[in-house]
Amino acid sequence: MKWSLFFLIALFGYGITPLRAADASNPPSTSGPQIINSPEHFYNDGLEAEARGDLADASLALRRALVLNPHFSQAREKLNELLGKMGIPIQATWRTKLVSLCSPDFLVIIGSLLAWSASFLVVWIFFTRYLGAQESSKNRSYFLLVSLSFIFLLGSALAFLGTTLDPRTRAAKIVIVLPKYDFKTSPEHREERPATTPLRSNPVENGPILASIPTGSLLLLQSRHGVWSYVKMESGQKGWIATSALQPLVPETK
Amino acid sequence: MPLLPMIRYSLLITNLRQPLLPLFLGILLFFISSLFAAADVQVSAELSRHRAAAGEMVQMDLKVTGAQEADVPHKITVDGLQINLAGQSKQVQMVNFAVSSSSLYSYIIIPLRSGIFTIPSIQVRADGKYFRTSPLQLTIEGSSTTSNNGIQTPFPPSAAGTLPPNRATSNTRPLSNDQIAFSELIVPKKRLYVGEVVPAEIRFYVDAHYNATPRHGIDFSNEGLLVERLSDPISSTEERNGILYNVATFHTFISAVKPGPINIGPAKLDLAIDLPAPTPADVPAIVAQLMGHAGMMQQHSLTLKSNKISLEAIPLPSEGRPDNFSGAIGEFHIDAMALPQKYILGDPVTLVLTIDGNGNVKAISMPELTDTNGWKIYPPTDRVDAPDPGSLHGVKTFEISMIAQEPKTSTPGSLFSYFNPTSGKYVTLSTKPQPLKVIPSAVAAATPSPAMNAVAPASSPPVNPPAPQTLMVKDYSPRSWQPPVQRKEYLLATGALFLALLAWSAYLGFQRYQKRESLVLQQHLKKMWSELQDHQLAPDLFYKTAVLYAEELLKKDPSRFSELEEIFKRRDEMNYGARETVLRPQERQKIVQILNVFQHGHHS
Repeated sequence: MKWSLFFLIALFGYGITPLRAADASNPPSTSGPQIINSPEHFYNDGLEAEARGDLADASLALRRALVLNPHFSQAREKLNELLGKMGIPIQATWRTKLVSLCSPDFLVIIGSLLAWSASFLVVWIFFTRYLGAQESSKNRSYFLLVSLSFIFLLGSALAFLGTTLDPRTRAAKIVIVLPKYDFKTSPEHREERPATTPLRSNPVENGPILASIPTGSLLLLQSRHGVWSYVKMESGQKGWIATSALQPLVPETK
Repeated sequence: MPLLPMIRYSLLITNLRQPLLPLFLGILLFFISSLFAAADVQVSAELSRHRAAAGEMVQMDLKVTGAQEADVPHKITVDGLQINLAGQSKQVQMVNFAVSSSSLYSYIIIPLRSGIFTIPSIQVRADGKYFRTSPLQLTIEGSSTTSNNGIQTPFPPSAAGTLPPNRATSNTRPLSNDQIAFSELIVPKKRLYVGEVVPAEIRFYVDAHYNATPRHGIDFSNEGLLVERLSDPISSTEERNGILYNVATFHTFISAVKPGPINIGPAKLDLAIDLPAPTPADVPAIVAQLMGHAGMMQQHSLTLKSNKISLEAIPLPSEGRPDNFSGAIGEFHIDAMALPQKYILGDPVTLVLTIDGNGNVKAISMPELTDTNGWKIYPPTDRVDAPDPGSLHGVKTFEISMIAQEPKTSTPGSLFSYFNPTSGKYVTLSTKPQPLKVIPSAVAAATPSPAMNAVAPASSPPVNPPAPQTLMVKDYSPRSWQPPVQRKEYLLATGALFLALLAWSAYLGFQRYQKRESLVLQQHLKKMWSELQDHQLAPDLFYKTAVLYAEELLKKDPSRFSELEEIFKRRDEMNYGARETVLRPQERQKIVQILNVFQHGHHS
């Protein structure tokens, strides 16, 4: 029994330890080659972008910081402030509210540990205490088995909840509207991004415009077809937008 | 069984069995001659109902049982009632071979006025004898408008308007259309301000004795007025001039859009109403009355038009009109609340303004906010709650989301102006700024808050860009972009655990199997050992059991065969040698001792 528990802990130790440190060497394409994937790094990037006056880029960096660490309060405050300046509504979903209460990683780890521990205990009690036992002790073992099964379900639910809450689970499909600098509309040659980007009903340059999406808005990427991407707004409206005007929330690795 | 079928049945039987004919005929004659003689004459009277409204007819049945013939009065005189014989029916029945007949005489009672009437006992002559009924009491409700001879018809024969003419009778008085159905329009104020909301009420009255169904919706379009959607009707009953009416009341609100005189109404409603059908001229009046109430109704169209009302709309005074007045007219009060009251800089704060009162609540605009410096204010959302749809009272709530651009300890205040039509003056209400508390964050405590530096507009770079190095976070904590469950480490650990669980299950299961086999073997050995202890056991069986026991013992340790070899030899000698089959107790004890020594390694 003892060696089983040690085995459990050792295995999870192996599984959990690299969670934070892994991928640290994957540099995002938008930054320099020496940059590591840490929320603090993206936070600093956001501050730099804000100092340049590029609020949209700053919001993207802060969003990335919050994806990596949903409890990064400084980044959250800064992002709220920037979105307020940009006129983009701040939407607090049930996920963000729950994430602020409990870490998704913690839920996944605790849930997995609970579920696996309960599984091993169920097997052990079944073979050693339940089979071949007398009626009186069999009832006690049965109650124990039911309780452990419940703990197994609880642990699985916690792990599932943690996965659902984790912003990284959905981040791969999220893109930010971040059009490139438009020198034509900037007579003073100042680097300014267009305030909005059109969402079109067809993937053509002169397709009917469904909506004008403010720069810095979040979109859900449905599919990518070359220079056009099919996206879904938070309001549920779908349409085509120029791929060049989008930046993925999860930076692409080289 | 009824009499006629019984006779038919008897004749059928008779045809089939001719010799029995005299017997059946005799029995039949006996019955027929004795049936009616046995019945007693009974006379009774009964009213179809004991309470009726003025103008409604009541039926009275006079029943004479057990008599061949009966003589009843054709007309009964009662002050205030007209009672006439309308028809007769006869019924014959047989119960337990006793045949009885009864005659039913129907009278129609037409009330000439309201009151409580007593119908006296009616004298009936039956089979040469006189019988009397019990007196009956009839209550007629409501006052009756009667003519000289007092008969009130349910529908006037000479009704005007869209109603068709009914058959005229000399003894009826018409009931006009206005008495069957009419409508009223009620507005409590005749003088109102432009934009002021005033309740209005439309009532439709229909005589409760008639069924009426609306054909279309209510036509209540008016020029110069805004009329809100009519409420669902409220049904009630009301008595007017002695007639009971079903009343449908609709509520609405009106407001004038321009100053000057305004005529309101009429409100129109087309009805389909069921009225008694005209009867042929050759039908007696009393039968016509009976038919009319027996359900011969005809549907007619009827258009109800309410009265008109003249209103005067006066403009709102320009004197004393506040700058922030936006058209609210009535009597209101305003409350403010901030949510949350503690906030982190950068988080949104919602200012909730609640305007409660009587008036044009829906038209109330967002109050003016004061002292909005340092706040980024978003367009408000609003909603109207009207607890009673028939009332002017309502609550309009504005929720304004705002984000502080700098640490603010209070929300903006608000100003709300409305015009009070009762006093004829403008009133301005205000709410004080709601106190707030800024929750300091970790970064704010350690370093200057980044938000403090971010007050420049979005379209241009800050005049004095903050020194980024003072805001930077130095300690990096690398993290993965993948959630734990998608990482290979997690999947490997999960797979390994799963395999470990399977292996452990197999191991425990095998252990369990071995334990069970061992238990069975032990029980078997125990049984054999007890048999070997039995001195009555036959020699051949003893050796056979001893050899089996020895074989089981040798399975555990075959190297010690030599210790038990003697048992096998002796068993062979017994089976194949010429030795006698007698087993001495000493030999039996020796074999047992050998086995025991083998098991425990010492002598027992």
